[in-house]
Amino acid sequence: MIDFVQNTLDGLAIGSAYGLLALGFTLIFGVMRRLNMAFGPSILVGIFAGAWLHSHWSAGMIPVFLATLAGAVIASAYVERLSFAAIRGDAALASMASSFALWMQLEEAVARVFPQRTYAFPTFEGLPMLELGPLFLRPEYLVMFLTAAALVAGLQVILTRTLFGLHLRTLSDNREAARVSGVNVAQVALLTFLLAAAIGGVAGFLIAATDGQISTKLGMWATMKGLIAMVIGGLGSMRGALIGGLALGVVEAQAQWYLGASGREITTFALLFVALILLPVGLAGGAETGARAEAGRRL
Amino acid sequence: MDGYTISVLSNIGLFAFLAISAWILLIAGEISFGQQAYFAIGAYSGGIATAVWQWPFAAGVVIAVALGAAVGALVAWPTMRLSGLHYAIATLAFAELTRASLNVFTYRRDIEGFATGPDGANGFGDIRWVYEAGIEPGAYLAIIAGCLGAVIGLVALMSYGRGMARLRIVGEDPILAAMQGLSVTRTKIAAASLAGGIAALGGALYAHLATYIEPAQFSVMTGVHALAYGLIGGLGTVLGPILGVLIDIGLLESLRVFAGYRMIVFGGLVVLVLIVRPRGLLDEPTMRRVQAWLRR
Amino acid sequence: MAAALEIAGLSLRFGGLTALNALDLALKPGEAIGLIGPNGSGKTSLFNVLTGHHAPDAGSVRLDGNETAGLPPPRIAALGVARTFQNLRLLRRLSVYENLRAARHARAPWREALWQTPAARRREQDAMISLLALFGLASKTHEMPEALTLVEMRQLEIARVLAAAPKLVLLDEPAAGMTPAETDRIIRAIAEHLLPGRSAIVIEHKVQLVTALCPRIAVLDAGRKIADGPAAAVLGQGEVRRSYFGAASC
Repeated sequence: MIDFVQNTLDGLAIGSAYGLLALGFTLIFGVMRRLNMAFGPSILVGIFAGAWLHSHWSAGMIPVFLATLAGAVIASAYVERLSFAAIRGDAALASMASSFALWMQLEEAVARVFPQRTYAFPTFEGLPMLELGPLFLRPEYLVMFLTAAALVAGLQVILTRTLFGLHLRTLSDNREAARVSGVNVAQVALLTFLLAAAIGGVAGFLIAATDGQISTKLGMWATMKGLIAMVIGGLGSMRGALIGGLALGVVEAQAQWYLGASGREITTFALLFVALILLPVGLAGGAETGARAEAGRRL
Repeated sequence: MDGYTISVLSNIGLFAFLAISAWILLIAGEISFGQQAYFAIGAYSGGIATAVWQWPFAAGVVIAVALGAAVGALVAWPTMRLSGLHYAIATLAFAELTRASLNVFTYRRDIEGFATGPDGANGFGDIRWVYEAGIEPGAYLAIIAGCLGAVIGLVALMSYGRGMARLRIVGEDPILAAMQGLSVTRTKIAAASLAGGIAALGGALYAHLATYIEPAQFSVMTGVHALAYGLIGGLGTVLGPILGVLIDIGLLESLRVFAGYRMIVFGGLVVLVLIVRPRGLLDEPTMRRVQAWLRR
Repeated sequence: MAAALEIAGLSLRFGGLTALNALDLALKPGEAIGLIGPNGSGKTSLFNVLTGHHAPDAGSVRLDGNETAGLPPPRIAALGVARTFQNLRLLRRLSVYENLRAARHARAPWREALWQTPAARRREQDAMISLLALFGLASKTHEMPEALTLVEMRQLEIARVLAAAPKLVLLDEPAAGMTPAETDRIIRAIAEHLLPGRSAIVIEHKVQLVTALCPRIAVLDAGRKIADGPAAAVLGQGEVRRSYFGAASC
């Protein structure tokens, strides 16, 4: 029982990072109605920028964090311009394929510059292990969870209190209405893309700082976890993205503990497959948004 | 032909099966990230048939195709009512489930003093039928080409008959298709079954060329590449996905100057193509112009 | 004589919105009825129920005595119902020929998916091309739909209905967006080729078209039938005329 609770706690922490990745996907999907396959690899660029700063200049956490964000945002801007802004509005499939091509490109570019298998990433040193009765909480996990919570709260403020947030929500809900009411669609799309990249950058930074080492596999990893968490949570819903991320984190942690690594993979994907069939609206359920309705149609 | 050319051409041929498989589903209006699962099913079942059960090669290929088609239909049956992104993720989940299951799948028999068969994550070696039968790489390339020709011929027949038209109508406008009397679900299940069989055929051929297969070879990367080939080569004709494979493996692999930068160059090329031609090089308008020219 | 189509107590709701409210309507074989009413009165919703796109919440639809309410669209199509669409529904990546042929796949045997004999293919080609010729589209056989004018697109949809050889024809504003001259052409095409021997429901705002094609008119308002009778009598009610056609189109 203690194990189960401990696993749940760890799973929620990792899951909050998954939730952030899913949130990034959801924001982009909401305004673009297209899938950005290069989301994870953009984050990868950021993480390696941070790692470079760390290894060459022994930079501390804050510069590394800023470099990670900057790298992710710049790489995302590149993706947005080439794979989304430049491709016709009715060609969502082309955007997906194009962003996949940029994924390949970004990943290989990073691998060219960083040829080793793994690189060191700065960790949160010196934080004590937290004890809650019989339970332990890694301090990195607490940082992860709190940062994610703060970020979601901040995002909520942006979405509800700013003009950009209003435009973003209008665009997610009904593209046509947004266009008619004078929303600058191209501009909001680009800004949303960069906002999503920044959120993804934070998630990537937290994950890298928890592991202490990074490899080029992280790009694909981030795309897959974010995509899966978004879909199980319920497409087009921000609350769903977070719930999906947390659920994925907990399921993985439990399966890893009780079934081992291969058992975890089998369980996670089997559950994902069954959940999609039984519950295609996602865990969050709820109201049909324009984005969600469109997700059900052909991309 | 030298050995290197033969091996590049064989690779192109094998990837073409996977690319055509993903392309067929694209035509039917579904994105699949998971056709590598059927490639794996074909590779493993074909390999088990010849290496463990000691069946003849042709029987191994037949069982692989049958299993791929059956699993394709079986998976499609509950997932076809999903659409768009949900279907794409369901195929991804199934493929990763297949790969993860192969990681723990062990089935070994004593064959002439050696334990032979899949051994979980350690892979499945000694699929030696082709070598024991003394088939030269050139001859095996001819077998691959023959099978690929058969698949292209099958699609050509379907284009001459009603099959491809049905797929395209269902893919483009399922609501209209249903009102024209076409069962969208049944058409899509048929497409998924066909796609599964074609990928499994490629998988069985691949296993016998490589002689060693392991679950890690059938990762998401493989499947997403297969999907991209059709989108780059073009959705207008079955030659589109083959063109996509040719550009990636053929052109860039053989132009050694790009060694180490292949993905950077290929990625850039793809991005430019898609800006100008969102449905690939050989898209529908291009094919229509070709047909008009042929009719003259 | 038994009714070709008998709709009784048909209701359709979307959440709190009532699209059809206990609607009754019967059509005799070969009869064409004009369906008029303001936007949102349930005309297109009725077509969506009749073709199986929506399952009704209550009521029955009998087509030659067969209950079709709630059946999936392919089954209903097989019973002989075909329609056109107000906003046009053509397959934009398929040629005009393939768009027309789309109506023929369902009734062909499955083996023709793989193999159609050259003779059968030629027969079908001839039939399709003579159908296109009826509507003046023969020269556009291999064009894409985007190369057609609006009138041609509507004619292609009507030809597609004809290719399905239905018993019941549903036309949703077949003259929307057309000039009077173009409307005349469409009226002629429908009257000559489509209506003979078939029952039809025609949704239309243009008096010119409704009176030319439909001896009988029913008026819908908020999902209810508020008038039904000979065209002249229904249109003679000044109120109907004013509210549903507007002064401009009279």
